[in-house]
Amino acid sequence: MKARLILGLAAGAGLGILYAFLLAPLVVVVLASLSGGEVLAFPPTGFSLKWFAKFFGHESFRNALWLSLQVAVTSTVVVAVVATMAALFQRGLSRNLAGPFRTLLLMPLLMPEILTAIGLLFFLYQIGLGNTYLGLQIGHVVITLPFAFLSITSALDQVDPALEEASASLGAGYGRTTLKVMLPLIKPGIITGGLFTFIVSFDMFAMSFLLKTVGGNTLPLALFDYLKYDFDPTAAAAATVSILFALAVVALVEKLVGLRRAF
Amino acid sequence: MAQIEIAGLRKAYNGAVAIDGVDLNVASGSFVTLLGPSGCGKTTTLRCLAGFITPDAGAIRVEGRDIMGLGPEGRDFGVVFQNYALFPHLSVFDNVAYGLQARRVPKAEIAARVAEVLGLVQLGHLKDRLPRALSGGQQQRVALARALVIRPQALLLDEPLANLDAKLRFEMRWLIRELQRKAGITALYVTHDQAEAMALSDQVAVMKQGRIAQLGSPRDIYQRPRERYVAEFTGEASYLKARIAEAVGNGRYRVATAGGEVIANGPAGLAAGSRHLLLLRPEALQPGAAGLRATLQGRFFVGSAQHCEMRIGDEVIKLYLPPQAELGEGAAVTLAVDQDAAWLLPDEAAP
Repeated sequence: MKARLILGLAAGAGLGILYAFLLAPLVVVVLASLSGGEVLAFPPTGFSLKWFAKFFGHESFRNALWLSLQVAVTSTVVVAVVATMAALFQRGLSRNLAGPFRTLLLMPLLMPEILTAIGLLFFLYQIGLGNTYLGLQIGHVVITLPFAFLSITSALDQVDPALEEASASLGAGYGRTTLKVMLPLIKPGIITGGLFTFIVSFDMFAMSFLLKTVGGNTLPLALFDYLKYDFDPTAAAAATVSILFALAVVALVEKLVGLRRAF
Repeated sequence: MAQIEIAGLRKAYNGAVAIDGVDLNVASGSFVTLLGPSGCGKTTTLRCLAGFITPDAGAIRVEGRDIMGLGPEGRDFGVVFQNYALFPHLSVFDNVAYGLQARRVPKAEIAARVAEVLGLVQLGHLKDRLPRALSGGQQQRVALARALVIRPQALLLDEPLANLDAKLRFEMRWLIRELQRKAGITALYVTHDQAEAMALSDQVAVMKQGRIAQLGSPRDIYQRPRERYVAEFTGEASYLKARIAEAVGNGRYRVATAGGEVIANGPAGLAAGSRHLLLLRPEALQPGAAGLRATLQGRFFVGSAQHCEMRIGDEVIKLYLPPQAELGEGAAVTLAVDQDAAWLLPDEAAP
């Protein structure tokens, strides 16, 4: 009884420390962005929203935020569709084909992002898409696809095969079974996958760094460029905006499906 | 309503034979059960019929028309699954309406037919519930309604009562039989429960290692099994080694056992002097004036009866005595044998 209590307390304390390390930087950044002082520092001196004003007044930041949103939303839509099709396709494969297919799709997750990016850069130049918006978009889709695929296949694994059989025996073909039975049942998995895709794409650095078009920065790249020459709290404001967007997406999913059902 | 013919059906999984030449004729409107232990191929046979798996060889015909080329969606069978397989995201109404929507039945007709069939299974008041808000018995009734509402050629039921408790199972038996009769629909039922099989069926096919060991009416397979396996699987059974003394009528013999001579039925044409097994169902034996000489070895009280073990020579047989019978262990008893319930089986151990 006593040993159990001590173990429980130790586990709680460990978890507390872990979360402190995870969340403290976020708190520091958000507080720093509200600073009234002139340099990026913690603890902040005074209170002001001027750094947010400066962030939104900065044309390169505004453009970068817009581009990041565009790329992330497009990735989300494309990946949700492609990953769903891939997951449904994999379900139909025999066991000895499904394994290799899965490994193939998860490959980008297993390789360092920078290597995938370099490879893709060469490849895109070969086919004439080097440093174009389309190339950047392809890079984001390649990296995020495995996240959504994992989330959707795990939802699909929960679906009893007897449901497909029941649907077929009632006279429904593959199309109707997919639309009326499979998609509604894996919807939480698709939405979770989309959520991961959005967040990973919105925060992606290495891939964007190599594949970006000339002058076309995403938000993480713009932030990186800015920090090279300036060290004022605008950078913290940019980071805060980025966090807020991620939270907004999470809140949206919560509102749409409820995270408890999505995970 | 349709007549179904299965011929020479075979299926192996990676070399392991699941069914090995199943032949079966299901008459239009009749209720046929595949009975057997797990792994005997009964479910595989049903799944081949439903179109969920493709057999390696054989033919399946409905009303004489070969349906092997059709997928499950084209076969027009209503399937009821062991785990119900209701669509968890659809209400009871939408679950039942699913097959009609797939058939593009007009909306007004769907509403009427779903209401009618939900009335039959007494679930009209729950039509807006989701499956997870229903009990197991209610879910199985929805599954039954969903399979019936499409008015299929036949109903295929794969151990539909296996997940229900004993009392519900009993009630559902009556309901299934009643609905099947009322609709006059052909039904193929799969179970490992012999009592269920006999209560429901017109014909029972006892399966053994991928083949049908015996097909017959419930009375036939219970009282006149062709082999010990069938006798074993259809109910409580005891056996005595027996030698035929003489034929005393058509399919009736005087046989000698360790407990004395008795009269028993058997297949016609058994030779005098040949060795057989005498099958004795527990209810075929009563203490009486003449018959088998036995000693009471042990008994236990189950309420409606006393289950007893009797020793005859070095063999042991079982019988049921009325609850009030007073017999001490070791008592010598003479057992009268009901001639119509004693049956001769081939002795598989004899040379």
